[in-house]
Formats: sequence, C-alpha cells, structure tokens
Amino acid sequence: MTPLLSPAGLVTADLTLYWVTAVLYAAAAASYVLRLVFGGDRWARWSARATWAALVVNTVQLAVHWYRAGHAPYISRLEVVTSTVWLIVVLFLVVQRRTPELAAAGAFLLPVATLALGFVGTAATPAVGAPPLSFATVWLGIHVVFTQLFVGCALLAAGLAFLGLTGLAARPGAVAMRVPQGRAADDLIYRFTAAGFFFLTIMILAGSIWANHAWGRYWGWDPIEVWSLICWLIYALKLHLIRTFGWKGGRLAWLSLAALGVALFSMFGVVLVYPSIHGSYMVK
Amino acid sequence: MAAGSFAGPLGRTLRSPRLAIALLAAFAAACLVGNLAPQVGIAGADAVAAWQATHPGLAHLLRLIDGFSLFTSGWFLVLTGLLALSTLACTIDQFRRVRRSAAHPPVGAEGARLLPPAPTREILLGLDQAAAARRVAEALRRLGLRVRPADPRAASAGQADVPVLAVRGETVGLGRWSSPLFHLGLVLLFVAVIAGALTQWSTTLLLAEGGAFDPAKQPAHGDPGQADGSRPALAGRIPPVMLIEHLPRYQLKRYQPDAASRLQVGGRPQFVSMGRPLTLGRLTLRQARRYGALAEVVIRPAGSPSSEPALVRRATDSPPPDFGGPVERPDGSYQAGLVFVNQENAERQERPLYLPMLGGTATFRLVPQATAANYRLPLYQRFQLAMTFTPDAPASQASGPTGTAASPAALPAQRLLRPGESLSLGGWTITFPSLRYWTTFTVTSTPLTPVFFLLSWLCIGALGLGLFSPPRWVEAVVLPAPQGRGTVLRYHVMAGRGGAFFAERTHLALSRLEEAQE
Repeated sequence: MTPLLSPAGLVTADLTLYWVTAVLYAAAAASYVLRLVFGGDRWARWSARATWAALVVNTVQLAVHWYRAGHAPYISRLEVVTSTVWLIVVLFLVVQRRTPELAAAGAFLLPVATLALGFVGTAATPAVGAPPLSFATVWLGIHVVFTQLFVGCALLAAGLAFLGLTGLAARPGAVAMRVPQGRAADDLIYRFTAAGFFFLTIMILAGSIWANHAWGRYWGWDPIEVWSLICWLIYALKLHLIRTFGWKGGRLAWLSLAALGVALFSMFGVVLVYPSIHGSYMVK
Repeated sequence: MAAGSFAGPLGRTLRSPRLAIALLAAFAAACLVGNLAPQVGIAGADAVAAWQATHPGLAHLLRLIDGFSLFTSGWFLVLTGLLALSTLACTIDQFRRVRRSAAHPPVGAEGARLLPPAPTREILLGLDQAAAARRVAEALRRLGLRVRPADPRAASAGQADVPVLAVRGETVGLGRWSSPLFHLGLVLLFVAVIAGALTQWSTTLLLAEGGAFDPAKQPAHGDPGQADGSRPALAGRIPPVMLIEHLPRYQLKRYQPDAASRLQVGGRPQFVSMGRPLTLGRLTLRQARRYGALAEVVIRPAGSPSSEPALVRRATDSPPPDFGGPVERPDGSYQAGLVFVNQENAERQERPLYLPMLGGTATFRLVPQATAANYRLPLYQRFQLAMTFTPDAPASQASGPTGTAASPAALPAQRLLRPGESLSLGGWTITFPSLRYWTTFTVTSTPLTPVFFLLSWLCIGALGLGLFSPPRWVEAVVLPAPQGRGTVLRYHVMAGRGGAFFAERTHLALSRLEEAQE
C-alpha cells in the first residue's frame, strides 16, 4: 500500500479529492436546480449543505495539491480551474449571505463549475509544472486572484441573465426565493458587470506590471493580452449600453451571456488556440 | 479645449455616446482581426510567411488592411487616436455635468432628471408623526444610509399648509465622480504612454563570463556587443557592468532557458535572473536571454604534458566563436569549439566535428548533470560533454603527429566528460576544460513608470468610487393621515442604473414598518 505522504500517495489523494469535489459540486448544482423549480425548504437545505461540503473538500484538495506541487495553484490547467472554481464559490456564498435572493444564481453557476471540473479533469494530466523565477512576485498573485474574481462576477451576471431568459426566474421555487426579476434583475446584472469590470481592470494592470518584470515590456500585443483587451472593451461597451442607451431585459441578458463567452475564452481558451507566451508555462 | 469649440459641431460629434460606442466596438473588432493571423512584430516574419502559405485567401484580404502588422498600422493608430479624443470630449462633458449637480444638489423632481426615481409610494402608519419619522430614520440607517432632516418640498407639493416631517437618507455620493475620474485617468494614461515611448531608451549588453562593459571606454573593433550604433551615448547614463559568473542552477521552462547571473554593477555585487530585473534608480537591468554555451575541447598527443591554462575570458569575446573544425595551436595540440545555442537546444542538439587526426567524426552533446533536487525543481550545477566517435571507412587511416590512428575496436560507444576530464582515443587525448557562456542584458530607462502607476491607481480608485459609493437617496415625508388616524409615510427612492435592487430593498425595509404595527 502506498504511503499517503509519498509522491504517489499525494497524487492519488489529490486526484481522489478532485473527483469527490466534482461530484459534490454536481450534487449541489442539481439541488439548486430542483430548489429553483420546485421550491421548498428541503431543497434549500440540501443545496446549502452540498455547496458547503463541496467547498470544504475543494479547499482540502487545493491544500494537498499546493503541498504536492510546492507552489500556489496557478500553473497547470487543472490548478487554474480548481482554484477558480473555489474562489467563485466563495464569492457566491459571500454574495448570497448578503443578498439571499441571489441563491438562485447557483442553478447556473454550479453546473458551469461542475462542467469545468469534469472537462479539465478528464482532459488534463495531474502533472505539476515547475514555476519559473518570474512567478515569484506578488503581482502575479494579484493578477490571478482578480482574474478569478472577474470570472465570478461575469458568471453571476450571466446566471441572472440565464434565469430571466429561460423563464426559470418565474418558476414557483424562484418566486418563493424572491429571485430578482425585471428591472431588479437588470440592476443586479449591471452591478455585477461593473464589479467585474473593476476586477478586470486591476487584473490587466497587475498583469502588465508582472509582464514588465518577466519579459521587459508592459504590453506586447501577445494573443492573451489582446484577448484581455477585447474582453475589457466588451465589458466597457456593455456598461455604456446599459447606462447610456438603457439596454435591459432580453437584449441585456443575451449581451451578458455573449460577454461571458468572450470572458471565458479570453481567460481559459486562448492558451489552447494560440501560441502564446502565457501558455508556454502551462502543463497541459 | 475651449468652451466654444467644445460646444461646436466637432465637440458635439466627439462627445456623442453613439460615436464612443462605435469606436469601442471598432477597436475591439480591430483587435480581433489582429488576432486572426500572426503578427510580424510578435511571431516573426517566418511564422507569418508560413501562415500565409497555408491560408492564401485570408492572407490576401489581411494584406489589404496591413493585417500582419496591424497594431502598428496607420489606420489602427488613427482609430486609437479617435477613441482617445472621444474619451477626452466625454470626460470634459461629464465633469461639467457632475460639477453642476454637485453645486446644486437635486431635490425631488430635479433629481428625477438625473436619476429616474421609483414611483412614489405611500404607507399608512398607526403612529404619531414624530415616532413614525423616527422609525423611518432607523430603517433607513439600517440600510446603510446617512440620514438627515430634508427639504419637505419634495413631497408636500400642493399641501403647503400641512405640517410634515421629512427625512432624507443618502449614500455618501462620491460615486458621481467615478465615471469622469475614470475616463480622465484613461486619457492621461494614453498621453503618458505616448510620452513614455518618446522619453524611454534602452540598450543591450552582450557579455561573456568574466567580461565587463565600461561605458566610459570607446568600443573596441569587432566587439558587436559594445559597438551598437543605435545606442545613445551611455557615458554617465549607466554604470560599468561586469558579468562575474552564470549560475546555471535552474532547469526552467521555455522562455526561461537559464536564469541567474552574478554581476558587478557600478562596483557593487548584484544578482539578476530572468524575470527578476535589477532596478537601479530609473534604470532597469534585465537578463534578456542566454546567448549560448561554448564547449571547448583540446586534443593533444597522448603522453604530452598538459599545459592547458585556465580559460582566458575576455570582455570582447562575443559573440561566441564557432571554430568549424579543430585549429592547430603553436604547441602542436588542437583546439575545437562547439557552440550550443542555449540550454534547451543543448539538450537536443548534437554537434558533429570531423577530427582528421583521428580519422573520424566525433559527435558532442551537452548533458546536464543533476546534483540535487528541490521539490520537483531539479537543480543542475554543471554540464557534462557526451562524445560519440564514428570512424571513417577502414581505408581512412589518418595519422597524427605520433603516427597513431584511432582504432575502432578500442573506442567506447559513448563517453561522458566532466569539466576538466580527459579521455584517450587512439594515440590522442581529448580534454574538456569547461563551458563558457554569453548573455544579453538589456538596460532600460523608463522615467515615466511612476506616472503610469499613479494613473493606474487613479483609474482603479475611480472605478472603486462608483462601486462602493453610488449616488442614491431616499426622500420620505410623514404627513398626518386624512382621517386624523395615524400618519402617512410617502417616500420615493432615487437611484439610477444599478439602483433598482436598492429600491426594492428600501421598499421591503419600509413596508416592514407597516407589518410591524399589524
């Protein structure tokens, strides 16, 4: 039997915890959808329990992985996705505590998180990469954390848009949960978009400072930099369309989902499609 | 911009939100097009040519719009300039409007022009006026609002004879400065980028281990590292730099082929590595890339005394020479140099070298010698040289000074040489003294970096103001009920985009007053 703290034992523990996390998030996602559709305290309790359980296991898995890799979880695709899911769920729980009406967004957010974990878990290797010296800077930590916060806000905005578009917000369970609808939902979408834009701006600025440390220039029109700029422009455009031109309802919801698509591609897809200086670090 | 011209047709066009939206969309689309194909300035001309060969149709279209160097093309720069001008015009306009609204805080219907209000609502409370006003103030405070007595005009229009108590709960309201300050930060950042490009300069130093660069000295002939005509006069601008040694310890990923160098800058010992630049006041010294490693081998007749001196390291030994073949030296021995471009290539590339005195070809390869590991990060202290010898056909019996040819039967398949070690081959001895490295350093002066930092913080701070202090307020009045039983609470919430949820929370909080008395 492999000792738990041996390298092989740590890999096994890491992967086992990863899949337990994914299964628990899947359970949480299912209970949020059932809560939204049928309502009732029972589903509310189960959704909260499953989310907290998944978050605890996710935290332990990240700690094990961090110990195994010897660096913070932001090098490989597996690390990036698990740490992003962790931060997004923490953000969701914090927001939900402040405004319980937003619990309904879990019916969109947690399925997306589960799919991301499942996809990456089957496609990526559990290998850990060696971080270059240029990673030993606080700016990289700021860059990564704010990227994840931005993705969290974009997902929450898109989640509210999704609930409105699919009519889920009008289901009995949603009504019982006081899910924001109409102008209140548009208002929340705007606020999450504004918060996401704030985080995205910090992410780009911190990234440019790190790029200057690592490569000697603040901006180099590298594909991932250009896609971050495109993402920033799309979110700026969205804010202008809401504030100045009064976009709301279906148009705003579709725009939110499209903006989320651009955001996810910019953050996770570009390194798979383009030969980018950022992607060279990643263990696929 | 003068007020007159700002109000003119050009000013009106530039501050038009439609133009701003169109320019933002056009800029995003241009960036997208710039990502369809590799760019000459980023991927290199070879990559662009290869892409053009595989996508002839799209390449033809992209050539029409300068799509392979799009980010430096004229039309892209014009688009960027227009976007900056539009932002500037909108910023001025926003400042004017915010200043007006700050000087004359909107009340009631005036405020409605700025922030569309939720409809006025009424609640019947079974309390006297003072108690009702107190309860309302408490409820508004619980919502995080600053509460103060208000102008009762807001809700008492048409009932001037009725005694009313009015309260106003509001957020701090600095958020109204968010958008103009953010846009101002963007415009200034744009100006600073242009000014920074005009004022910054950089130079490159190509140094061999043990070599030094002294800006006060005239560049030597044949020293490309110091005779770069494009550099500014460096005397007095940068200190003398000496590369003491490389520390090839880190086996890193691509773009970080090797890391650390010990330097002496201005007489002081320093340490610099890839991704860890050295800041010297306004200067930044950065290890750009390792140029190459040179393995030298010395071939002498077996039994001759080794008089090999330590490697002579000269400041002007750059770029590294490639001998091409063994060079006969005055003492009758031969010297051969084998250049490995960088560590990553060295692990893959083999360097064949025909050795006529041995009658065959020796193939050399650098092999990293791992001596320790830190977690999963292997540390390499030095390299070994792996040599494989392939003799010519049996007819080839070249003879050296001793008249001894290499005997195929006596040759090992592959031999590893540690630095300083020798091996015997036929009547010859091959010695591998050690490796030498060359490195490119860049020295950059960016005097406006603190300005970039300040402006970045301005942008972030301005966005934060908008997020954490949005302009919202609630105006509430408490009137005597018409039938003389209790009071009527009449209120409306003033909140712009992003405030409807706040309005709902306010309605919920105030309606609880009604529920509480039931």
